[in-house]
Amino acid sequence: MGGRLRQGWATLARGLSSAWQIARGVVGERAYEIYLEHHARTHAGTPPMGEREFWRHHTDRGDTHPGSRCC
Amino acid sequence: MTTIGTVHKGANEPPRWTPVRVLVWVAVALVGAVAWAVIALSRGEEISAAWLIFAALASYAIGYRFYARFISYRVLRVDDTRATPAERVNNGADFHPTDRRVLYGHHFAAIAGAGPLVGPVLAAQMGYLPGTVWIILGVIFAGAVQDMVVLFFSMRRNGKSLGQMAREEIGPVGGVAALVAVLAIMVILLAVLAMVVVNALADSPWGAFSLIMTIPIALFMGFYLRYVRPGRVMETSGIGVVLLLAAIVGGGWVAADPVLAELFHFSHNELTFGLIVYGFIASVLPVWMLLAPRDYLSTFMKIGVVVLLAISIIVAMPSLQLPAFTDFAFNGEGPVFAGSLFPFVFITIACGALSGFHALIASGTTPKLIEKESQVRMIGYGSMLTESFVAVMALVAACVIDPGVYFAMNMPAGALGEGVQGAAATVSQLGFTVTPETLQATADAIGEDSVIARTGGAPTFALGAAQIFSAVFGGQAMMAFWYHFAVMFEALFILTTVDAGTRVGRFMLQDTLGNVYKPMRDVSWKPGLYLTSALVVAGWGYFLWAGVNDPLGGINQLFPLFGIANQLLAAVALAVCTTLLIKSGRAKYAWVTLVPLVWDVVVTLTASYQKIFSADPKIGFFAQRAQYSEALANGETSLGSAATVDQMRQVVVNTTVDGVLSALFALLIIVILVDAARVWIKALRAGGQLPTTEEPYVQSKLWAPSGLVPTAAERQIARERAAAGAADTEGR
Repeated sequence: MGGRLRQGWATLARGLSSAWQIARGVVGERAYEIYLEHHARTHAGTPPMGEREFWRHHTDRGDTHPGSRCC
Repeated sequence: MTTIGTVHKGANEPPRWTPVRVLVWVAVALVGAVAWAVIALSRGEEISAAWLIFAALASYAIGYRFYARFISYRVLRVDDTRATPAERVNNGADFHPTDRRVLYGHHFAAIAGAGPLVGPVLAAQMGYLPGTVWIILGVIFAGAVQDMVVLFFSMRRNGKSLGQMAREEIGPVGGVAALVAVLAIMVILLAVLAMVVVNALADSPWGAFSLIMTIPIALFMGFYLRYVRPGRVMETSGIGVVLLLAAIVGGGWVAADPVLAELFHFSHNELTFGLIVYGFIASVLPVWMLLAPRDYLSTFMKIGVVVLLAISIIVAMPSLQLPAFTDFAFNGEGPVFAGSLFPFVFITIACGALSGFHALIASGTTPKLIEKESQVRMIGYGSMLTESFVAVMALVAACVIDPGVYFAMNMPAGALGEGVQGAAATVSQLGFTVTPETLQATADAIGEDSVIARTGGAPTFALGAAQIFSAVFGGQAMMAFWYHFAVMFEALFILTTVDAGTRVGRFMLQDTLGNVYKPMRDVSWKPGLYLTSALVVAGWGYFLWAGVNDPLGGINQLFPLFGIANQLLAAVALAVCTTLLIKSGRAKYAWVTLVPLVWDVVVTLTASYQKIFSADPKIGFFAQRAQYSEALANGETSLGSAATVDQMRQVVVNTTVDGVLSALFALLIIVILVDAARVWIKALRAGGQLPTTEEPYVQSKLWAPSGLVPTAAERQIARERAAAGAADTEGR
């Protein structure tokens, strides 16, 4: 019985954590993680941008690449 | 056994019909049929809003399961063994395979704004039925189809924009027409939306204070994200939302304090100039300061409010006060906007049923992020169904308020007479009995001086939403808070759209002028940046100013033009889709986009025709112009709601501009259609196949489920692939 309860909790925790990751994705908070994954895959061995520097670049892209917002 | 590199086609086969599945779908169909029967057949008695919600949800489910599935597998032939641009290009920035649920949220936040909250409210003057039928059938057969098919074709072309596709697949004439259409709609859209804000906040210190406070809040968030906690978007948005709620509460104190209330009391024209100046400054500031944080806040609020409203309607189950039809559906004499049901309901409700603007988003960022081709159904079709549901909820909000109050709020000030007495008398004459006391009590309940002639849809939606929210949370005492909460988030969406739209318009203008004068194309060249920003702001600013001061009511005059412009863009998008279906040898399925295209063209051209040629001065711009210029020539000093000679001259100018624009839009539609038809005939003569610009096939190595919830078979595949060490995003 205790085992099943623990399993239920684990499932719930997993569900909540993936919901949280989806919400972070929707608001765009995972951008740095995505960049790091990409960097590790394509430029392995070279140091990636620091977090602060990355976010600055990331936000400033909006100055030259406008995203549309609809009515 | 699964090995990495093998991609399953299993999801493309329709799920087998088990008895349980058959039962579930029979039940869904029955619920839908009963709900439709109730809302269509009830006459005279009030019905519960629940029936509208059930009819919508059951219809969406059937449309998504059967029609969207048919389109994706039979018409588009989505192929999950084919790598998407996100997988092929994958540059860690704008091309990146994104979890389908994240992308759904992204795409929804990009397409939905204040539009679906405004159109249905205005269309409610004809009763709840015309709007409901169009929102639900329109989205299933036209709007969601357009979004999904454009998304698919753009994805097959590395995320090319609608304008590029029109130029490459139809020709330079179609391409130029598309560009003009985009710029024109941008200007009219921004003007109409800004007018909604002006009408909602003029003479309302509470509303004006809360909205003005969003500027320091956004600036604070911008600096916080830049210098204190880079990348902590959730945390920053959370703080922003709390500050926003505090600003709404603070607005109540401001309104109660005579000195502060005077300070935040703005007239229509003061707000108009304020918005124009704001629009210019916001569009030249770096995005991190204002636009980015405002966008985070708006996304947060958007999703939160949609969920909150859905829950409240389902819990409160309010009943609809407006009848299924009013007389205005047939006699064309509606005071909110003129013209009869056909074609004007289909023009007034664009966002939520069929919105051409979405084609710009579906051919912008989204196609570069999609992970699997089959996900176009969930992201393109599914997001649009969600927006349509928002429109249904807005319609419910407009229909739960007292019809007399509805008309007093939505008629132009000039038509209503003096004060609550005059308004009550005018509205009662229309056949919707209302007392001056009711009008005043409504204003008192929401903490405003007056609800009369608060046109534009936002205040009406806010009043209905406040009734629904307060029935669930807080009761009558919370009415004023909820009203200003609703006004505020609509204004917030609109300011985000104004800011982003001005920028997009500026980039297009810079690009176009760059053909003539090279330095213009450099987007960081300051003089060019200021000049083009000023031009775009001047464009929408003119229409905003003219609309706000229009003696006949700006919403009344300009909203049909906005609808026509939006549907014109839909015609471009659907023409591009039809062209691509025919050129790629799928002429037998071209009806999927051709039928909505023909409908859209018939509606838009009929509306344009009436706006240009109608002899009824209430509908036809030129008939109205003739009426006023004749009166001026005869030396009359007032006519209808224009009380002075100056106002009469203003009507003459406005009707000329609006009439010429209607003619231009109609002409553009015809040009695009003729040019597209030329390509269709050429393709059919060439044996039903012409080369298109589709990217060549590349084998995909990724795998992901197609729909929101993975099926049992998909979960099994995900486990096997994870065990074999595949680099899928699912399960990570």
